[in-house]
Order: sequence, then structure tokens, then C-alpha cells
Amino acid sequence: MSDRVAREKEVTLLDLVDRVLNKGVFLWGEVTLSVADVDLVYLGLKVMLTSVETAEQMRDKHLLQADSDEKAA
Amino acid sequence: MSLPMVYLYAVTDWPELPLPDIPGLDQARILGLSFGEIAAVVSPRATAIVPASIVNIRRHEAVVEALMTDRSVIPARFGAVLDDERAARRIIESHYTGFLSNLDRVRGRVELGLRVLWDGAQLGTGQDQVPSHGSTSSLPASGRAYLRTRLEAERREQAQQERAAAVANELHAPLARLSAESTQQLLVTPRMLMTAAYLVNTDRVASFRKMVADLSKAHPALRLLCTGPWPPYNFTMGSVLPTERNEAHV
Repeated sequence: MSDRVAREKEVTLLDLVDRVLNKGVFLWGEVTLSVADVDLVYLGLKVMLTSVETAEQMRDKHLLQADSDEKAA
Repeated sequence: MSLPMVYLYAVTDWPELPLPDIPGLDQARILGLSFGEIAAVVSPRATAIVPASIVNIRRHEAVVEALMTDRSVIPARFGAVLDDERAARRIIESHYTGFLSNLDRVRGRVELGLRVLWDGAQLGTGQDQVPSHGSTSSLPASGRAYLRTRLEAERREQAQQERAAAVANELHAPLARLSAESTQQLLVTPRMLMTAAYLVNTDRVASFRKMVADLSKAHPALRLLCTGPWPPYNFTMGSVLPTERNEAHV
């Protein structure tokens, strides 16, 4: 359950970053847009999401394995 | 007195309303530059470069959300720095009617986000082995086998896309009906079946969330995550508002 809460928080953060950095009004040629370190933020989020997905997959595999062991026994 | 540079958070209606008591980027004081029935909300800025740190992104969002509590907002994209107050005023003056009509579009509405995760392997299971079936090597035996493998892969890909579109539409259609406007993207990553945004009347937010909960129950194999309410970042693209991704300086 805590995994899931953590994942949802991270997806929410991803939603926030996606909106604030990529959406919203922007007037070409009239506004200076000098944003530093964007890739670092995205890399950080990607690592977080990947680690959560990996953890989920490992847990699912573990559950499946435990289930088949139980049936075999 | 004119300030050297200003950072833009949003354009709002109700310029006569007092601004929320909330600091801007680097704790700078926010101020409203009004023209007619709209205002640009800005804070003084010493440098043009704005680091896209989580702290700064949250601060930008906090200001826009605070504004959103008692007025309509068109959120600015993160990192918009103008030469000075006069430049900010020029923008709201020269795009006045566009801003007004966009404020009308979003008035009384909020943006809700939806992300849907699926197990993309669901469809591939049992089919992924086809290309190497009957062969001890992963390399195709001939040009013909290679082409067949490619064709099969493309067919699987197409079937996956069609299935994704069908499943996504089962979720998207009822939610879009509860919304004034919506956007939808499929398979941004293989596991992210759908990313969508909905512009929803504030009095329909509860019904929208209930619909998401019902859809979630009806599709136990999918994971639905509804986020928001957000400022209408995805719905401020009218005639005056180009939408291409900015050129980021890293």
C-alpha cells in the first residue's frame, strides 16, 4: 500500500512538472525563457518512476512465485 | 519606479482584487500589473535564467494556485522572464482580447488530470515468442523470414495501438462528456495507456471523480490516477497562445 501511495505522489509530481514546464501560456518572441536544468528534473522523475515500476514488477513476480509454490506444495 | 526584470506567473481577471499573501520565486513579492479587466501577476527578478528546480516549480505553482482560489487564471509557462514591467504591460495590452476570451473559457472551471497505467505486456503475452518459434537462433534464417518477422511485429504493434485506443476511449468518452473540453494522448510510454486532461466546471468535479472511481472499478486490470484540480495549463491555447515546447537552455 505504501508503494502505491509513493507511486501516486510521484506521478502527481510528474503531472505538476509536465504542466508547469510544458504547458501554460507562452508568447513566442516576446518573453525570454531561459530555463536551466530541465533535463535534470526529468531525469530525476524518470528514475523515481522507473524504480517504482521495477519494485511493483518484482513484487508481482514474487507474489506469482509464492502462489505457484503454494499450489505445487 | 521601474524594475529591471519581472517573472510572469499568470494573467488573471479581477485586477482590483488584492493579491494573495504569498511569496514568489526566491521569496520576491508578487505584484499585479493591470490593464482594463485583466492583470499580469509578476515578481521582480534579478536574473533572466530560472533554474527548473522542484522548489522553483512548486513555488510557481503555489502562486498560480493561490490566485486561482478567487479569480480566473491563465497560467504562464515556467520560466517566463520579461525585460521589465513595461514589457509585461505591453503583452497584456497587445493580446488583451485574446486573454479576455481565454479567461472566459476557463472561468468557473478547473483542470483535472488522468493517467492510466496498463500492463502493456497483456497483449504481447503468448505472441512475443512467435518470431523465434521453430528456430534455435534469434537471427532470421532468410530475408523472407526477416520480412515475415518484421510484418508480424508491425501487426502486433498495430493491434496494440488499436486495443489501446479502444480501451482508452471507454474511459475517455464518459469523462469528456462531463467536461467542457479535453485533451488525450495515448501510449506516451508503453505502460502509460493514456494521459488526459479535462476542463471541468467546479460544480462537476465531484461527479467527475465519482465517474473515475466507477471506471476504475469496472476496469480492475487498469490503474487510474486522477490528479488536480490544476490551473488550466492545458486549456489556455487560444489564438494568442502558441503551444510549442520552449527552447530550454540546460
